[in-house]
Amino acid sequence: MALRSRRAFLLTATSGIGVALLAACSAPSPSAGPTSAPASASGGSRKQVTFWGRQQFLPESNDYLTESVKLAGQKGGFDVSVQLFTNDEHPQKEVVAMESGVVPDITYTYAPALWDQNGYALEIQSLYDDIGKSGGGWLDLADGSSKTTAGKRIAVPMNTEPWFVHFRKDKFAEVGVSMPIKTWDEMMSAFQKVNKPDEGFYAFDGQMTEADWVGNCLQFMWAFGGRLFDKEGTPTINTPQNIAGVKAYTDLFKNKMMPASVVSQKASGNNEAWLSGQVAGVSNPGSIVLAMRKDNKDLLANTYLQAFPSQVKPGSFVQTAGAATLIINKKSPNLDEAMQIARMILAPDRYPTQLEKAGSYWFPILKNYLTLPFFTQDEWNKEVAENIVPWALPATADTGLSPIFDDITISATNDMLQAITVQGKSVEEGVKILADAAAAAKAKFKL
Amino acid sequence: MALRVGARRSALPQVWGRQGTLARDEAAFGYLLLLPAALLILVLVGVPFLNALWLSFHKKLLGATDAPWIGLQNYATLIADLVFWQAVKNTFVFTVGSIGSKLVIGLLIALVLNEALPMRGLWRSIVMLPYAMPTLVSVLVWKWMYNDVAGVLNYLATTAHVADHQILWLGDPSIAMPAVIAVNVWRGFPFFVITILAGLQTVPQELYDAAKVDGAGVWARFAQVTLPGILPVLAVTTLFSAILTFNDFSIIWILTQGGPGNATNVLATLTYKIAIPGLELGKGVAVSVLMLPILVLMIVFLNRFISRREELA
Amino acid sequence: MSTASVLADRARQASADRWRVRVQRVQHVGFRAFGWLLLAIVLVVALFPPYFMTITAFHPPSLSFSRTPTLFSTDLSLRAFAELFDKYPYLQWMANTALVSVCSTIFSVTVATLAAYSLSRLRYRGRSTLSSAVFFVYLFPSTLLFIPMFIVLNSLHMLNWLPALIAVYLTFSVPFSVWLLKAYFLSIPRELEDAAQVDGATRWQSLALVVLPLAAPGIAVACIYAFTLAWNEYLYAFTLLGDQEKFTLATGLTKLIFGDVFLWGMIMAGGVMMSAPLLILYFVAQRYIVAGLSAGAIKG
Repeated sequence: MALRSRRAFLLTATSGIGVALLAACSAPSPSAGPTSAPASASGGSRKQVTFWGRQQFLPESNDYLTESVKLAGQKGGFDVSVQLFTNDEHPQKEVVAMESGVVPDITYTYAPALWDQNGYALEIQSLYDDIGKSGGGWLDLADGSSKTTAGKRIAVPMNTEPWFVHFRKDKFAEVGVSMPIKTWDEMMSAFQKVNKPDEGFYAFDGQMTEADWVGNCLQFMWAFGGRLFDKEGTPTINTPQNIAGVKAYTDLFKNKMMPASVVSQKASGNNEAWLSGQVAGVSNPGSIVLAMRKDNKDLLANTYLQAFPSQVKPGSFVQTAGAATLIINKKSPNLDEAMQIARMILAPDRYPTQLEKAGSYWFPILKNYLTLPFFTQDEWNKEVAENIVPWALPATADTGLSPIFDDITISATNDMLQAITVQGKSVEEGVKILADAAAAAKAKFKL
Repeated sequence: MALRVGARRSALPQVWGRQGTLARDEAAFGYLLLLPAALLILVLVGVPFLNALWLSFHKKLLGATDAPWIGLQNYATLIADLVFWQAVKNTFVFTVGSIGSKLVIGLLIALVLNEALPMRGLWRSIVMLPYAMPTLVSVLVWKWMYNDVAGVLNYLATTAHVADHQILWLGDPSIAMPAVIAVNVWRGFPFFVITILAGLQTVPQELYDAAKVDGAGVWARFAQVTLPGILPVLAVTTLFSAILTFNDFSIIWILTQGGPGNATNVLATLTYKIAIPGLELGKGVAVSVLMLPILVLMIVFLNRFISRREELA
Repeated sequence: MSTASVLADRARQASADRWRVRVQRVQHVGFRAFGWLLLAIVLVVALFPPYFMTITAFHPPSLSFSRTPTLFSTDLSLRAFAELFDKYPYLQWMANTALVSVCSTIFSVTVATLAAYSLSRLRYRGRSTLSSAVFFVYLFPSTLLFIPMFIVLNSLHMLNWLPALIAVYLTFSVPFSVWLLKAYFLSIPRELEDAAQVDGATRWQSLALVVLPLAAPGIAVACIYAFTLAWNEYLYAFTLLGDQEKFTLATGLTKLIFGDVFLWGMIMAGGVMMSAPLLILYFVAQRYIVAGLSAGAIKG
């Protein structure tokens, strides 16, 4: 090639590289040194305490949480490092951390059983009791989210994150159904009436994968009286009640009361179905309500939130709820500092604002805060606080935190639902897949 | 420092087995230059690889401090598992389907672009576009386009009355694999176009003219002149791309995570699933190790092809 | 044979020829038309996703998921870009990515140039095995290596440290660059080096003053590819980096996915900005890239 063009190219390339380097250098440079393990101090006597957590959808919530942690550091005279991860990254980060032994001092996690299983969870009964006292006592559902099958108190719950059943008030009103829907039979007949597959409008959207399983399929199982475990932590999956529940759930799909796409929907599937006006009902935690508050107030006005009616006990309801929990690393040299952080986050002068900043994702887990104006004055928060929280229980309520549960909800739940809806197996065969996976997990974790 | 070159050095490069300080000098220099690269690879690849291999012979659960030796048990479990064989099958379908499509499309477009077209440079740039975009970005864009509720492909299909209902591009097990292959092909065909185009330009015009004189038609000219001329290029490009496609993880992971129901689960995604969410590190690594024999075979083939042509150079 | 039959034969032959020529001309036109149609389709297909990405980025959909996506709109807004810069340290991410890409390019091309010269020019035992070994390493699946890599780096306390990421990137950019540069070096005639050595140049001098300037296009191509590989890389960046401020563009982009909420507007905006530098680079250096790709394939 011609000398001139080559020179010209090299000139442009070098100047390009120069610009890039300049940009990299002028921007605030990343810290020059590698991060050391949490234990070692950086030359001074101040301790460095690491906090890991989940990144919430609302940035204000993340900022406020970070602020709480930093405040604890200021008061206690130690440095803090806060890292918040997204839904996809977080589990992997936890996994990789435990594997490598570089574990944060305190973590906000949705997988407390995993931390305990790997020997990283400190027993914190007294911390739990103290915080409970300062908040007017824990709600019942805090118990199942914070202690293991063996009875060790290892986690401090930060909230309850219930699933809400969302109903399209307007669409149900058109077919003569009014809110709330109080019994199972009412709900089934309401679904029949509102379902219009020819117009592309369906009664319900419940995923047939592992996504949102706890808030959909499991709730159907609970509605029929089925449980996953007994009090000793032994899996009790292959029972007539559970089979009936899974059958009711998958029948909705088979009878064309769900969109066809549920067989492959991931977590965002039911959000999208609801927000695009495709369905009359979904079960989901707060992200849909938040999305509507932001962008679609009309749809929000037509939304009613309630719990799932029980089939075995008409008039009562079932509701699954997750909880974000704080775990303190047993092997950390900064135990006291970590506990200070926990107290600060749940302190009476910080916690209420944290709940508000988290929008409709976090609901109180301590009794005093149920009566905050935020929860009594907003129409939808009120519906949740009144219709849902009283019935809310964690999925592992019977048995406490269990690694078996975490394990089977990774892919065995997906295998079960796919077997029934895609591969044409019977409900019994599908439920057996889940039961077998639980047994295998029990053996894997030597429980 | 002047070399004691002068008369002793032969201008013929193909003299082997020379004794004496000259050859030793050359060898020493050769090793020296290779040293940084070799060191780098040994440390940054060799060590993790050996570590991984070691892991595969142990029952290593995530976070567990004890990792008992279990020999080939991980491998035995995998070979007995239907999901593993489905992943093997999917990997081959994915690789062969992608490569076949890329080859055909690449060849056709290269042939077209080889003709004297107006604004050829512009068309070439546009063709390069999928290759130039970051993979992560292009895969996310396709994921958005494939969305069953709000995706543009479904929108176009329904307005053009090609389909009467939502197509579950990534949700229907029978469509998911072709959909994923389509993204891989979209991303990778420019590579074939460019290399084949370059290869086409080395076929001497005289051969075409001779064929024309002999009365060969378009098709005959292609089969007898073009194809033999670019066969080496086709082979190298195909093999190279096959290896990269075989290893590909992010395209399938971002689009379907191996679903629906293992329909698009390939060996690379299976490894990840078993090791990270499944917490079984030993078994997960064993899947990767099982990929190696096939990879090695492909690499050996490719290398033989390349070195044979190096010797001719 | 009689003159008449000879003439008749020739006439028949001529008309057969004319017929064949006509058929061939039709075939020729047919094939060309087909070829242009195919090219047009492929161009549209190649162009559509980037176009759609850009449209979505400049006309961000709300979270409400309209069922009728916008294909073309004059109602443009920079809202997604503004939000992206506002809520996330996007500029920092860009700087990090640039830093990592540039550094890994410089190091890997330097190391690779030396290695490629050695493997292509110099003779010593085990040369072809080493050559294959280098190539083998490039084709190693990263899903195999990333966990042990994490463990190794962790024991060295080098996690969450961009220089460590640069070093890891060398593991794939060096083998690739070696392969590419080897082809270039092989295409440089030995006679030039021989002549230099006759003139009394040392090996280093011959490398630096004779070979490198001639291989400059190849080196430029290797730089472009190494840069691209580093710019795009996701898996290692995700595993080995922790603090948000240290993220690269690839890992930053995935921060816009909240489990069940995909912020498509911002994702597309981030995608536009992540693609733009690369696209500009490719457009400007197009000829070199083509030369690079073809050198590998045809010259081996």
